[in-house]
Amino acid sequence: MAHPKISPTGRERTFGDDELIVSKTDLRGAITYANDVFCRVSGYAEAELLGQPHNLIRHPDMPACVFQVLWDTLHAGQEIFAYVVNQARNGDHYWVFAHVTCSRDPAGNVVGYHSNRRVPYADALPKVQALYAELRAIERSHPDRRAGMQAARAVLDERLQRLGISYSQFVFSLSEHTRLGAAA
Amino acid sequence: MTTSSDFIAEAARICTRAAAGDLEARILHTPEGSELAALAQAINRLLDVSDAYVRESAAAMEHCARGEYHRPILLRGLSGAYRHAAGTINDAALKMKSDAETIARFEVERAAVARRVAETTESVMASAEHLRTTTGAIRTHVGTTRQLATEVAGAGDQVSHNVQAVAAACHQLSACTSEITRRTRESAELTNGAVGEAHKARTAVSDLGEATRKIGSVVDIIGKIARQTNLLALNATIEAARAGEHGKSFAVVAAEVKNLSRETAQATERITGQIDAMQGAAHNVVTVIGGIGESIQRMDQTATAIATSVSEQASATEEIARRIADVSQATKSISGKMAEVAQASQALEETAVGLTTAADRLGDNASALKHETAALKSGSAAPVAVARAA
Repeated sequence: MAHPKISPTGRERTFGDDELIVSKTDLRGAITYANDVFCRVSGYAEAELLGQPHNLIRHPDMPACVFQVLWDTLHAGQEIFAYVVNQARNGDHYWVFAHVTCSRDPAGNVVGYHSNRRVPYADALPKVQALYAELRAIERSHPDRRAGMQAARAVLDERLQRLGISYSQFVFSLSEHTRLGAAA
Repeated sequence: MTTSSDFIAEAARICTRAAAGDLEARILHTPEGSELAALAQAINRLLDVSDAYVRESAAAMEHCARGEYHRPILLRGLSGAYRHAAGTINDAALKMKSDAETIARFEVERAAVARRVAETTESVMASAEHLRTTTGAIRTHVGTTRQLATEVAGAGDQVSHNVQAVAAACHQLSACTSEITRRTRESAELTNGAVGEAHKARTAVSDLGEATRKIGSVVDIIGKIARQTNLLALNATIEAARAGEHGKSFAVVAAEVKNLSRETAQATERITGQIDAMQGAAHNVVTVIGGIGESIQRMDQTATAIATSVSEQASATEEIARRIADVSQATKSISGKMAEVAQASQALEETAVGLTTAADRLGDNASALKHETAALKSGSAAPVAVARAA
């Protein structure tokens, strides 16, 4: 579904530390639930969100390869955490620390996806922004969008391999607050 | 959702589903700005935070169950009892992480110990095998030694026996030598006697020659007297003839005297002849006696040489006897020592048998230990699994 292109305003939106931005999608990624915090921060009414693809709020600064990792992880039945910058209806942006999981029926079948988004940990953001800028630059350097994404993904994977940690471990290592014993 | 009663019915269904554990349920399409919208938001928020807590705690525990401790429950966005319960779970996860690290450390230590034990066991097994081989060799050598010692002791006895025989022979030889020496001495005395006798014989023969020569002088005097008697008889005859008839009987006497003197002359000639023969014979006797004396001298020299040789031989025999006595003593000593060696060898052999048994047992124990260690080495999953289950 084509959406009108929104130009970033460069303005940042925030939400409360005790708040969760919550959304659910079906297996295709169409929004089936958006809570009131989501609506307020994104600037969309519930009716504008339900049934829409979740990439409605995708910000152009987000590397495509990060979403590729996200979907690969979810398709493997695992949860994923990611720092994400989203774009509000008016072009403002807001950073979240997203936790995406599969929703399952009582038989254990995946029936959709669920995302909780928290206020991101401030000490992680500079590292995340630097990494995303690097990955995005790689993606943009390729005329072919898919080739660019693969090149950036390769760089990301190579870096993780060099560190000897999983993507999940990498994300949790970015902030002092997301380590066991210091969780906040 | 058209009417408030419809909404309330929908809210009740959602809450019932949620109470039944269906945390996917949410109230959708709420009209904005109404009281119902506030209620719907409140219900959805309750469901959102419950949903978040359930997903977070389950995911955090799943990670712990996999032995991954990098993923705590994020407290941000959770409040009150949710936050407190999440904190409790995180504390438990922290403890599990610490325990897992302790177990992992112990596991590393245990593996190292198991490896060292395995290495040591291998070494002990190799040593036991080597010990077994060595002990076997010792037993063989000791057996050979004992046999050789017994043989040597036997040979020593034989030597001792032979040496005794030699000693006896030497003793006999010594006795013979003494006899020879005695006889030789006797022979020398006899020879000396014979030399004296020969000397005396030569003196006697010389005396005889002297006596003969004196007899010759007397015979010469007799011959001279006979010749003068003959002249006197001749003169008496002449005188008798001159006296004629009265001289006739005197002429007869004179003729008789003349006959006697002639016979005397003849007799003295024969005596002289006899004396010459006697002197020749005496000379021969002296020569013969001289030869005998020389022979006796040579015999004496030979006897002396024999006596010297026999004396040397006696010394040599004594030396041999002394050496033989030494040899006999040494041989007896060797035999004694060899008997001790044989005894010691037997004791050593028994010890070696004991050692072999010990080496066998050591090898068996090491094998058993290796088996146990193998179990210990491969049993690393067990304590971790228990820890995870705990």
